[in-house]
Amino acid sequence: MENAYGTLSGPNITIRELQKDKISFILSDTDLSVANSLRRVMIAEVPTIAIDMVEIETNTTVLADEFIAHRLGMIPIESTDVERIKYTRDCTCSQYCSECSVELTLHVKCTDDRTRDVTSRELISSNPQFQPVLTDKNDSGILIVKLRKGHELSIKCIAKKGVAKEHAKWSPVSGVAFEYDPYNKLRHTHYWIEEDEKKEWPLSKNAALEAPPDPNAPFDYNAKPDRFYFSSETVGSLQPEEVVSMAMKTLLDKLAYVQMQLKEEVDMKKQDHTSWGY
Amino acid sequence: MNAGAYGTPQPRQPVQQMAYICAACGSENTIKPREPIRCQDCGHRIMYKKRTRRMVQFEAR
Repeated sequence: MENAYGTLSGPNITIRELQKDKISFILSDTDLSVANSLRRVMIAEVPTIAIDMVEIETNTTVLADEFIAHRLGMIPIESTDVERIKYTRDCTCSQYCSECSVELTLHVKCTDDRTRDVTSRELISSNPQFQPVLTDKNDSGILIVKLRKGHELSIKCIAKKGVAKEHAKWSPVSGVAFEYDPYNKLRHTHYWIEEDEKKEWPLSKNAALEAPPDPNAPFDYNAKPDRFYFSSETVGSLQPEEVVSMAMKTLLDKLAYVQMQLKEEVDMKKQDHTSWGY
Repeated sequence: MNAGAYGTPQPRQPVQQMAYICAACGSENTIKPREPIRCQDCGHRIMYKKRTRRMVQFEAR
């Protein structure tokens, strides 16, 4: 608290809740900028696998080709082993190959008089490590389209590795809740009020984890936030703890890249100096 | 990349008779140059073009 740059031991994480698709934790002893970077990386820069290309052979369903292609793109795919897949742009192949993509096929025809539901369960993956997400055995999968008698759908999908910066379908999370300073001691939040702030803006649950401030205490303009309440829900492609650790790894990789560039720049400058100093 | 691009252009083949589907009765018709577009069965003047048999590729975005 006293030190704006955290303790000597560095930032801290306390996990409050961990479920199959949810995580809630407190990040402390770090700067607001670091906490916010973690939030942003969790949302947009953790790579996952998602369907990116759809080749439609037959489609006699009621939905248009592009409509089905869009729906397929949004289906979460089990991505625990994303690190084994390359980005297509980094791959040596000309279009796509098994090193940088996963093929999923779907062929359904309705021959009964009843409506036939086509779900993500019917997508057959070329690589068993990358399957459409199912929460349990009884999960019926994600509905793609409904078929009437005689309707047919025959499709080949190419799933690729990507990040949500490019398209939100690659995001491993449906959202990240982020809060600090629940009592607004730092006055970073300006509440819009009609009459009474206390009545109109009830305290968040995170307020229970902090000591209420003394109403007569003077405003501390040097204070900095150092406890950040995170809570996040995944879409199922990665485990929640994986999302957090992969986000940190991504952040680290980005910093390592900056460090490398800095070193190059410094070396260049040094070379300039030696060549000019006779 | 263009969504909905129809495969690669193929070498020109001898012009095949294109069958169209009548919007009223659903029977197949051929359309010839300088001839009124009219269904042989029911006389309806609106035709539908058939879907291509080729594979169509889309970006899932």
